[in-house]
Amino acid sequence: MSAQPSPRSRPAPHATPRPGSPNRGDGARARLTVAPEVARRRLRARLLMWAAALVTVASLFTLVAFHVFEAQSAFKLERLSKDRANEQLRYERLREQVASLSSAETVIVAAAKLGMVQGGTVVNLPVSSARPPGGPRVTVQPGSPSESYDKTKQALLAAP
Amino acid sequence: MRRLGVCSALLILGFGLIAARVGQLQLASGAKYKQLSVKLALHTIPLTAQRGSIFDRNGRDLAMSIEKTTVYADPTLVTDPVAEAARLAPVLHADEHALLQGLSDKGTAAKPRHFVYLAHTVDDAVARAAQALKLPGIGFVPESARSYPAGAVAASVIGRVRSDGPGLDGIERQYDHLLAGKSGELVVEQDPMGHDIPDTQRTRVDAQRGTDVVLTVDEDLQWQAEYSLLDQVKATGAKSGMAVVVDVTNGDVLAMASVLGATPTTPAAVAGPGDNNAPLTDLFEPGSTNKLITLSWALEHGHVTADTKFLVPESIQVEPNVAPYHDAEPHTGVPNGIEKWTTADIVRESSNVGTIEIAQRMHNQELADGLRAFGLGKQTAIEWPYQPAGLLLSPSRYYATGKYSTAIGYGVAVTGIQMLDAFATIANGGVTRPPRLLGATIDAKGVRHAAAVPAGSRVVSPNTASVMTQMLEGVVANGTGACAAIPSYVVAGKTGTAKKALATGGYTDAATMASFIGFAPADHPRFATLVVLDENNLRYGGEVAAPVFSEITQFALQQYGVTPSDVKNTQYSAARAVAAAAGNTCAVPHGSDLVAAQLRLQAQQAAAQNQSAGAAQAGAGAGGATSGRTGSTAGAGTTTASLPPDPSKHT
Repeated sequence: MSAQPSPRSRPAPHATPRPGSPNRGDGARARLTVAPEVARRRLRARLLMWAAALVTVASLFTLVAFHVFEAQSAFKLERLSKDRANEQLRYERLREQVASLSSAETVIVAAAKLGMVQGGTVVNLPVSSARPPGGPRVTVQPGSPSESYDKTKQALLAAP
Repeated sequence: MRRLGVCSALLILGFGLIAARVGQLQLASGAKYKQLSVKLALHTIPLTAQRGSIFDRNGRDLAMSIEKTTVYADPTLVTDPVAEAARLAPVLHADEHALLQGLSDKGTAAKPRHFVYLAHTVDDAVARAAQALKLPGIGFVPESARSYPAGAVAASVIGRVRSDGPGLDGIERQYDHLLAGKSGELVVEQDPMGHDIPDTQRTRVDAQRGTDVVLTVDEDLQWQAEYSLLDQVKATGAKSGMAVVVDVTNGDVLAMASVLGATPTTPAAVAGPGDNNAPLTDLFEPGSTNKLITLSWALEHGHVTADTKFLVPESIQVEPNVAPYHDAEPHTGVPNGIEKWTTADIVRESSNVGTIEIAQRMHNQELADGLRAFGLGKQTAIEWPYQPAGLLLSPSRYYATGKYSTAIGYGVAVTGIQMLDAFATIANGGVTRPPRLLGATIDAKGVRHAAAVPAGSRVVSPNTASVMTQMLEGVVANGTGACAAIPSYVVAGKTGTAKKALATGGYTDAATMASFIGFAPADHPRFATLVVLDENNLRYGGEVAAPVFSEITQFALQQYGVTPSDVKNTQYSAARAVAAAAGNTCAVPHGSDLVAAQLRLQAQQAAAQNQSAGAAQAGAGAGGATSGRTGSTAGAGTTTASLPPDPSKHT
């Protein structure tokens, strides 16, 4: 053990020498100068201890919190991934449904259910014979497309 | 004090032992236990690559992959196989006995069986119903399934895939390397409940989705082609039929239809997945449609012009000991049956004799070169599994008749797409327009890559193509192909009616390949269409195939908004008059008309059967003295006089 005074045996800072006792003026003065330093040291040590404890607790708390957040994020990520997969699946099924419902086969079946029937032979009526017998004669305007057919045809072919 | 010391010592000893054991586990055996732990926790999850979709040219889905549920069993966990099989069978629509076998197959004690497939890729409703049963040992896994939302449309073109993925036929097979994609895997640590353990080892190799394939086919036009062809096959009782529509401007195949005729057990139907895609796989003798090549080559090499005149008799004998070639129709109203026809008339009337007279001006090698120049005898530009190149006789093996038979479309075997390619060449001003089925690909990132348009090569001059086109217009306006006319458009085309070869040699009257190949509008070609009907109740291509051509091509012209080139209906009116004079309605029967046509056909077939039965009875009654004559007559009946000689007889 060192010769230094124990921190627990706190000396009185201003002790009056007892009468008849040997004069200890120099030593008392020295103890009186040391005492504030010890107190500061003690205070510093206490503060350091508290700080270390605080840092430790905070670190531990942060670590735990970080892990909790990480775990939560992992679960959230997993859930999002599943949601994405489900939405993708839903999208594909809807796409298939659209393609299926708009296919010619489905349209024909649906039309048949509505009472529509397939037409028989298609008869194309030439324009020249479209006028019923005895019906009004269709007058062709000069310069109309029918009149200038070739010109119109060339124009259409140039810009279809 | 002493007791306290003993307790402390025991405590220290206890903790010391624990520390020693921990030290032993961590330091001495740590690596081993770490490995064991990782092995137990690590799971490798295969990531199956999603197969690419197949689209039509307008982006409509023809084939796509979607996730469905597969039902499996762990037989070791199944408590009552008999009861479970009985409950599952009606839900899964599966055979109860087969299910029972699967559920009972527990394997051996050394090697227990933990996985048996019960039903692949069932519908959602079925999966839900099976899950609701909550049977022990029955599990469910997601599995990718191929779906064809357009139904049977273009089924023989698209093909099919095996349950585990690879394409079996059609486009699915041809472009399997693109569609399949690349599988990946996810290595992850999981707890016993199957949850991922956070902040642990995780390795992921992403699966690469397959490339999407965009076809040149137009779903609507494809359906129209199949619909028209199917009804005509039904109406004529044909054995099968094929139709193809190609965009002459870029070679895109817009429709490729195959129809299978009725059999005693099945009705006529559009070819399904796994059936032959006839236009690319079936070989046949083209007959008169091949005259296009003969005449184009003769025009190109200056042997004839459109106005060159020929004296065309009804038949021609090219060699003294060989049966003569005949025209299909008798030459009536002219002295000695000899017509004075120009080249254009020969094309219009589809005269075999006239074409042979033209071929006589050509060398063997010249004709053979012409056939090859038009693409016969080699595969087309379309990428297709097992596409045949066709069969061409070597000019050295033409002998006496090979050149003439070839000139009129016999002794050569072609695919439908090859013949259509030849017509597309004429429509394209004499430059080949190689057909293509693949329009583009779309990679996993969604980037579209257009497929290259194969370059064409000049076969005949623009002038030859133009003259040939005019002659082909005559075929429709005033010839054998009148039924191919389309209102408001000018059509150019050629009919073909090829008798089918017998396995025993020679040809038969009882079976023909009736065809019509043409393009429209003739003055500004946009679409080239081929229609072929196999064994169609003995009718000409101009009667049975041309109306189908007209209906399909008219739909295409209207669908694509092609400008009408003959609003005065000059060609259409003339063609209708010709057809009406021949008593032909030029119609593909649909709906009630189809029912009536089928009834007529059945009545005809029944009458023919009665007639043949009566003839057989009469023959039997006549006795052995006339049997030789009967046999001779039968022989003449099956090998018609107008047939070209079989080239194989002259080897």
